[in-house]
Amino acid sequence: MAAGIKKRIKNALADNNLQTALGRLAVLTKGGRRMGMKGIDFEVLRNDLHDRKEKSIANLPHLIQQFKENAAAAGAIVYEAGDAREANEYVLRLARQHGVRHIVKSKSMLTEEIGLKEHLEQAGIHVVETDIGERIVQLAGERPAHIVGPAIHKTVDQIAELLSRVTGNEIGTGSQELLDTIRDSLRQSYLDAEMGISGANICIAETGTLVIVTNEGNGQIVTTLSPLHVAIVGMEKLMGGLEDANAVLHLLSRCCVGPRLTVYTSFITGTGSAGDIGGIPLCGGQGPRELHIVLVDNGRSELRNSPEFRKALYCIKCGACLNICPVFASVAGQVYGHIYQGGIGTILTAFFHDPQRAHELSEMCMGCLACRTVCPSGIDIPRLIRNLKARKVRKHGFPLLKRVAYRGILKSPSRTESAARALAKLQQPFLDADYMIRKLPYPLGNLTDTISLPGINSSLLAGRMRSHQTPETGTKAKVAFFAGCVTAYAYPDLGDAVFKLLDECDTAPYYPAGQACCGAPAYFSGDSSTGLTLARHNIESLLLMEPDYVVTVCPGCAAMLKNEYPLLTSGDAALHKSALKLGAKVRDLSQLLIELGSESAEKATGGEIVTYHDPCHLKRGLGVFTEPRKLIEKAGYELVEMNDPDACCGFGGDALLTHPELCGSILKRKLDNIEATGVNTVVTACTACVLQLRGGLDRRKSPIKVVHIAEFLAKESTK
Amino acid sequence: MAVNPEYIERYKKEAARVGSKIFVAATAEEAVNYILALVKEKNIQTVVKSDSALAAGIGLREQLENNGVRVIETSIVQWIRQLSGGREAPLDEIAASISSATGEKIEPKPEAILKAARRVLKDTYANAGLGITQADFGIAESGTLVSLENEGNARLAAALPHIHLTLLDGNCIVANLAEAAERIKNTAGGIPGHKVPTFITYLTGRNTTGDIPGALFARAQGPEEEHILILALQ
Repeated sequence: MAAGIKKRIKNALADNNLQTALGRLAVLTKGGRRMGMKGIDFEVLRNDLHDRKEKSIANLPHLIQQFKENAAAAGAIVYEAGDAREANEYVLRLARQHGVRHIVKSKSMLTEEIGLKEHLEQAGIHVVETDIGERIVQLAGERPAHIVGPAIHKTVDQIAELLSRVTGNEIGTGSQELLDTIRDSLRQSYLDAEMGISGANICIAETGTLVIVTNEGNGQIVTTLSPLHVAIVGMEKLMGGLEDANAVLHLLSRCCVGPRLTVYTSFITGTGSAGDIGGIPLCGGQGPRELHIVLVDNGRSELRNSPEFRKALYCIKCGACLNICPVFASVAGQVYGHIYQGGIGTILTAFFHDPQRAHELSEMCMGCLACRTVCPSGIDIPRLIRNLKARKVRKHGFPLLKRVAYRGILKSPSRTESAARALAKLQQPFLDADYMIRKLPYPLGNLTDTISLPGINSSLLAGRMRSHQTPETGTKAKVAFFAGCVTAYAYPDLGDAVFKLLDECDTAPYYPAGQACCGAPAYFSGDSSTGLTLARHNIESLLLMEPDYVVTVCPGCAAMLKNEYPLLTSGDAALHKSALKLGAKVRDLSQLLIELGSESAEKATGGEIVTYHDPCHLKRGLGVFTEPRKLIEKAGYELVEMNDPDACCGFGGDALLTHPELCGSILKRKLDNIEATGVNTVVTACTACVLQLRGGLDRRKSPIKVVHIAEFLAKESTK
Repeated sequence: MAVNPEYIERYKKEAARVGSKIFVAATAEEAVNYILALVKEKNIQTVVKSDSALAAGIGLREQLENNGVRVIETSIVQWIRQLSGGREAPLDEIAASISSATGEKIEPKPEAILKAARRVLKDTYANAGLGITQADFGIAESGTLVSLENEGNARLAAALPHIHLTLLDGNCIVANLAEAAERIKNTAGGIPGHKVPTFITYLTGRNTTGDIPGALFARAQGPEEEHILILALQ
């Protein structure tokens, strides 16, 4: 392995060519997605695909048997390879038997995974990649940067320079000239090749058919023109019938770059025939004389047998999750250091390659949930990543810093409070006059690399709320306020704002005593036991006075209470029941205000224009995104949308400690988008987003104010 | 299959959207004229074609040849027939014709003839100005052409020539992928052991690549233009 992960991230962020190319990717994929989703009910189609994949993976042994029989009956030779070595040796043996010197190859991530090309090249066989992007990457001696767009990281100038060097001719930077150069050289390779190697997107068991999609047309040529065709296929690609294949085809291209179907969708069943002359059949026709299908396991059975991770096998390799991933948009795929990129790639790397590497990659995840919303197979990738972190903690324990932070402090509310009091004192030397911390010493310096931090407020929320620990008696709805750590220690004023707004809605707000950290930081770092302890603690504290609602101002906390507690407590029936009861009462503040019909009187438009940033866990975790907008407009403001309002701000939880520069790069795009609106105020609805955006804008010395919607509305109502 | 004007309209719209050039011919003459005009405009000398009942029905080969265009049949059986002056010939005569066409000595055995034919045709596709194939049916919702074959010549004639033109019977358009799957399942494989034909291709639009910056919808490795000639003969 070359440079370590931090170094690779740093290099990628500093690589101007890469950053230019990534800008192109963003525009391309955003437009593509919009086009792809037009006229379909994505949720219906993806549920259908999820169910078909679930069934196929469950029936895999049967499907393999069925596929082998039908493919063999149609003239194909099927070989099952347990691992990379078996697959590679099979293909090399075949090549030697047939005296193959030249091979053309269409795109296949699996061949990258097993290192087939290198294996053949070491044996002196010439292998040419025929996908244009893949060919560029091959000539450059690199690995693909994206499942679907291997050369997405290259600029025109770089490609021109590369081709000039390889061909020895001066190749101009015109896109057409570059394309023509590559196409012409590939044409000769097709004619010379004695073997064509492809992957397959789907294998249909009922008919023994391979389904291969390409946009360029290279797939058609590679699989037809050579006398030998070898398809290298991961066993998870097996599905039952044509209807199953249709479910994949419906979404594959749409989710990848937008069009309804890929240009060439090729179904290949066995070997062909050109009829007969004089009653003697012309076997093979003009296609391959032999078709070999190598079904590869290489970790897939283990993945299939791991209930926590099995769904990773539902992946159809469309790349949608990469296209939307804020981390990928900052650094592209080569940073991941192995074959598979992004969130799903992290899981696949764990099973197909190296669990250690995968654990390292898992720390890059921002937990923004964007990938989950676009996955055509309905894979909850962030959950798989959390499971991977939990597995790591189970196997290798926690690093000291996290052990102290999560198990030593956050796990106990009293210790958390003591720690906050201690920090409030310790921070004094680093605190600026405006209560911001702009530079922390080692080992916490990371935290202030890209943002300024709020100081710990010396007047902690719990103290202020001592007289509000029970709801007013009467018929009003009882609303328990769950503050969350950021509010409790950095932004306690938010508590006053929440109470004011809830009073105005004629409810009885109160602050349940003994509430602790929601547990999300520990839980999403893989520390399930701390998560469970805190869940138990909070479920009891919050339900004690039988509130009608539990309201939060941090959607990370809300999503934890509502979505994760029921999962965490599944091993304890009584607690699980309470978790579900609590979950049903949990509301984000905006959601509750709309639900209660908040009657803050209509105000004349004061002319101020504001913009709104969607917190990841509010929009994607809780499905709340219209409510805050309605409230802002109801309060008399004009809302102007920024570009990608729901893109992650880069707070990223854990990642802020491990990869601050990555978080900084994601934050930069967010701040650029905010500044481009020309507003003076950005409203958001998450305390962590407030912290991150304020901290980042402070670094820019920007006059733009970041306001939590609770304060924004509360201030408005006193005017 | 019944004529469905709605399907034709939808088909036209969707195929155009993905970069195909569509022409609907109401008469054989219109169809032939479209192709002759294309051949003239692009200065095409050689056409490779696969078996097509629609082409035969409008006398396409003769019309092209009358206009000085060389037309090469690409199914091996038809290719041999063409070499043999349009008639069934015995093996030794076939071997002799191939030998004289290629300058290589070919044995009068089917396997040797097959190998020679593969070799010759391989070069022919890429050098042809135009490939003409016939689709078995179209899919309206995506503007897709579906072709079923066992030999592999149709997919080569569709992928390698400079321009590709597909003949599509206006009566043979299905609504969507699901109907396409039904139709395929009801098509016999044609070779023992095959439940479906060897090669089935869904061709949707003109080939593209996004791999070169600034050339998003540029031609990739297939033909520069995809023409679809729908025959909706009155």
